[in-house]
Amino acid sequence: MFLDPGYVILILLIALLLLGVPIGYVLGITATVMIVLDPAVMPMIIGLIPFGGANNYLLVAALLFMIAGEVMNQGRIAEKLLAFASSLVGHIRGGLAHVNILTSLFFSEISGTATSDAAAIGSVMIPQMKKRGYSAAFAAAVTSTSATMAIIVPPSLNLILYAYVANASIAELFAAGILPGFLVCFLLLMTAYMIAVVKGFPTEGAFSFARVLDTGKDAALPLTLPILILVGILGGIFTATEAGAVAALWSIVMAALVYRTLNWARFVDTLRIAGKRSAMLMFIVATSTLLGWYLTNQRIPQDIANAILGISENYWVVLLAINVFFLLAGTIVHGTPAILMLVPIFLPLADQLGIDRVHFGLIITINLGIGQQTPPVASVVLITCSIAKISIGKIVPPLMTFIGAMLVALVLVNIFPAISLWLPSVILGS
Amino acid sequence: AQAQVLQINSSLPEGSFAHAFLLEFQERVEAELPSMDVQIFMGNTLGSEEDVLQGLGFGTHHASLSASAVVQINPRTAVFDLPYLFENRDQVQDFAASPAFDMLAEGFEGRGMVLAALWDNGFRVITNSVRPIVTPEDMNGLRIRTPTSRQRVAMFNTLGANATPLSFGEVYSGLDQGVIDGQENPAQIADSARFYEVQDYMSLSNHVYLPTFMLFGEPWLNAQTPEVRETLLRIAAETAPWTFAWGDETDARILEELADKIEINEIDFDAFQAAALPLYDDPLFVDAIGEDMIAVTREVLGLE
Amino acid sequence: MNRLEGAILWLDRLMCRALDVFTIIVAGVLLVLLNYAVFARFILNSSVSWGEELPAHILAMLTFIGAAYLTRTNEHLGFDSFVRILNLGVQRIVLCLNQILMAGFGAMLFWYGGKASLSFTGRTLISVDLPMILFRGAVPLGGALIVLICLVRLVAIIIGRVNPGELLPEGDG
Ligand code: NA
Ligand code: NA
Repeated sequence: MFLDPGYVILILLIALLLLGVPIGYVLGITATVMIVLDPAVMPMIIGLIPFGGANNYLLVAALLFMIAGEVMNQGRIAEKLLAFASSLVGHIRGGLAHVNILTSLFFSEISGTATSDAAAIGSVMIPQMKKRGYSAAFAAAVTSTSATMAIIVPPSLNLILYAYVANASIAELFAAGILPGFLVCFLLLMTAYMIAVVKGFPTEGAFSFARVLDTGKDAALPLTLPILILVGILGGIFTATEAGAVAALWSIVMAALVYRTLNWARFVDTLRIAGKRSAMLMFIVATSTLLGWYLTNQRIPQDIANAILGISENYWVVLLAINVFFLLAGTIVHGTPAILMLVPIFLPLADQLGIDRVHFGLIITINLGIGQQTPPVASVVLITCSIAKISIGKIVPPLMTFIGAMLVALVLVNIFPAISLWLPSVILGS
Repeated sequence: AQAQVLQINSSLPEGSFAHAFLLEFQERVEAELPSMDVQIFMGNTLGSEEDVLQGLGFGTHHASLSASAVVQINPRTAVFDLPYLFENRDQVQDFAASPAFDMLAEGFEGRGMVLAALWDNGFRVITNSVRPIVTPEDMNGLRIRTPTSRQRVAMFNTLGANATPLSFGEVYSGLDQGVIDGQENPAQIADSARFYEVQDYMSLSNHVYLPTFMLFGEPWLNAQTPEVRETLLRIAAETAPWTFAWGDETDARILEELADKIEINEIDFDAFQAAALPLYDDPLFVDAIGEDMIAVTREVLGLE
Repeated sequence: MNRLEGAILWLDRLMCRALDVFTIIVAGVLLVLLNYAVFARFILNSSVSWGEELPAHILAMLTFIGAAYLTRTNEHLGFDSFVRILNLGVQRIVLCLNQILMAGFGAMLFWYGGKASLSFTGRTLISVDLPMILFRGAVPLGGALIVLICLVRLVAIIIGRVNPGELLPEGDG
């Protein structure tokens, strides 16, 4: 080969992506081109490896959590959580912003993707906030950034994928996500409060314990879901996949029998949506496994790790470099391909530096969560902008303030591994 | 001359027995065949064991140090699922030097791969948090985690335990929370997975011995010169005794280190062998392994 | 020519319907199987043997058949902003090229996936007596559907039956 295969792969990936080839195909076509051009590799591998990548029990969990999230979404469960959040924090200045953030935290314990979080909460909260005098940009920004908690707090599609790629324990990763999620929540609440004081946003009435109890009764049922998931997985009772199944079933029972918001047609629709999303995710998993196979075969991840360690072996310098890289990568690549493609490349590096794999998973997840908030690829922001009916340009100023808060959380999680690792060590003894 | 690449796959992780054996093999091969570039891929990095084994036949993969998944290709290898078949590594090596090995190797013929040697993999021990297991009666009612293997489940249930298949990743917390009482694995895994933190007793049961299978793909092997082919197969066979000696020593060292962390005891092997013997005629085992293979094995090991 | 077009449209509708039903059924089956596995483990107190292997294989089946379906409905994730700013003529050429590349990858999945599947003939899953080829066969089947879908589109773009913008991947959102 005349050119270093690493560069050829990079050029092919970027060119195909820019030409509008779907990501799953970008990865598959790039791998195929490299395999066909390399005389030492037999193309027969294309028939074997993608199936092996898709044949994965752990990733069945992703499909099941998508069903659960979609049922909660279609079953209008977000509204119950919202009323409860409102009774708790509505009396603080900028009440609806706090309600928005707290509802996101509740919902993030049910859903595993930031986009479903943003859609479910944004469609209820953003119109209300606009009515109460909040700017559309502020409402969209607060919804968008707080939706990030969905991928940090368990269950999380990103953490499931990371566990698969890094061969790490899902239970430990889920436990490790709880405190960083609360930290993000706290920092977003603080930021919203400061903005609310400056801008003179309203409160939502006085605090009333009776109202907390009243709305809490309504919210108690949906909040059994995160308890079921956490106790089940962290207690070693369920595998993540089993927890996904039980969560999906329980959400269906709640929405269909208790709230009567889920009829047969809607149920079929949730299966269709989850099935399609899962196929999209899995096709990327399958083709990235093929490309990953070629990279491993050529020993490229080790070469990259060694090249970076050749520049500096200082723990903090390399960690900073990894953070900057994933932050930038997150602005142009989606979470799924970013984890599938980039984590295997950086994992040898993290291992060599002695970074705990669970801690590393949280660092990557928060980086990618922030990346989802910044153009050009800003899936979550686009959803909230379309609900708020504003252009991407308008949302930037308030968005930047909230992203600043998330960056603070990122720095803290990096510097203090205990924020992610303390809870798994207490709960799981690991 | 251009370096010839030999990629060896293994489903076992870095730092495992298999990894140590492959590093030794690499050293020996590269000493005798300087033009051979031996590359080791641990932990399924070049495909699941099922895909790697299939790839040996296609030529996409060169060689594999495989474990239990070979049963899918060659059912005769299920002979190693027979409980209490071997008491020590000498018996395993006797077996490997007998006609039973030829019969085992024959089972791979026509599957696109060649069995070069059987290497060590460590004897299995049972850990639990209830009582030391010495006689079969001690197994009564214990909830023991097993891999998803029909034979292993049947074995523990026959001995009076309650076999609970669970994926490996769930075992530590399962033991910690008391969902299961114990588990069975080689001592090295009980050590590296820190099961001693949540278990009180380790019984040196040797209840099952699964070797690793050093397999070469026929398409890759046939593309080599007869000389290289012969050399590789010879080195693989010569490495076998080294792996058993290394495994024996390492197991002893691991047990010594574990002695402070968990109570270790020997079992009454003969009593267990007698209790498990009915399984040697159980259709679950006989139909999978084949009567001929079981007969040869019993003859070689003097089991009646 | 009109009759041919009518036949293609009818087949296309039929295929979409079949793929839709397949996707819904597979998602539903996984939901039921996994819940039954939990039920068996905790209530019946006897774990099912196929608990991990069967769901994983069904998911793999969904992956390749679903990939073809999403190709037809343009729901694969991609990056469309750059192509959208190009002029329409260039867009047309780019989209033709994309269909050819995607059909090429589909052809590789069909051919090599087919050979791989056939090599598993006669073998069943470890835990349950279902032929492996039933699941492995999803790779060549999905590949063949991708080839068909992309070739029909290639012709449709060339004869001007569809606009390039209709065939871009689901942008980000
Ligand atoms: Na979540
Ligand atoms: Na972004």
